[in-house]
Amino acid sequence: MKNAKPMVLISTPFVAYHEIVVKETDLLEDAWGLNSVYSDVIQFLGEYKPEPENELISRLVELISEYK
Amino acid sequence: MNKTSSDYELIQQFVRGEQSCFEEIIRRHKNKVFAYISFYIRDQALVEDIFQDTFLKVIQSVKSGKYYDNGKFLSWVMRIAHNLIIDHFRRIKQMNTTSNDDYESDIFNSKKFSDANIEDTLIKRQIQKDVRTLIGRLPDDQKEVVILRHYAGLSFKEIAEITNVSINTALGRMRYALINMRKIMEEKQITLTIN
Repeated sequence: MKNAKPMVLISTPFVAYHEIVVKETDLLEDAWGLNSVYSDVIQFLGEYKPEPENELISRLVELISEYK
Repeated sequence: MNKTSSDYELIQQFVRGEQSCFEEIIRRHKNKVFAYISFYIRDQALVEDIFQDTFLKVIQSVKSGKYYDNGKFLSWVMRIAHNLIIDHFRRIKQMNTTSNDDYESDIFNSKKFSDANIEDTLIKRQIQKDVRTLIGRLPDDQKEVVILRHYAGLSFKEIAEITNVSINTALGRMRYALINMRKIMEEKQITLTIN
């Protein structure tokens, strides 16, 4: 009993439901394990991020302002 | 305007005359819509035209009261983009001309090329080409799921609704797509070049 530590220091703390963040997670995808099993392919797909240029967005905003 | 407002709240405010609300909508979804179109159309100028037309069509529909909120604004926008892409291919078919969609733009003419580091640009170009090759070699149903999930950012529930299949079918297609892409990566010895 001399070496005994309080429970909180040696046990895994309980996580309340509201503390589990799933906002950005597709739970179905997660259940199928796609992200964990194919992480190499998914990471590679993530290397390509087509984005519109700022000029294009400015032109679009201008068009919208003219739109009645 | 609040940055945490829902898409529908922003749309309502836009209809009431607050233009900045639609700008926020564009800011939120621009990358996803642009990426979706870029995977089907290679000609950059055409991608930009369809991108603009998509948002103008959204405005037209919203202003004429054709949009009813069901919490699926982005799916609806993607459907509009998809229809515009289909219209483009239909027009090409009718005109019976050769599409320049297979044309890879010359990187040396790119304005970005002179500004950015040349090596980085070349590596990025190579990755872009490899990713396009990977996805391009997939059957159409698998390709669609990959683009909608990883570039348009839709959930599997939304993908299932857009593609008219069950959620399990959409997930199954994704699994086959990932298996196929891994196989192609191994065959072509494609690896990550940027960390």
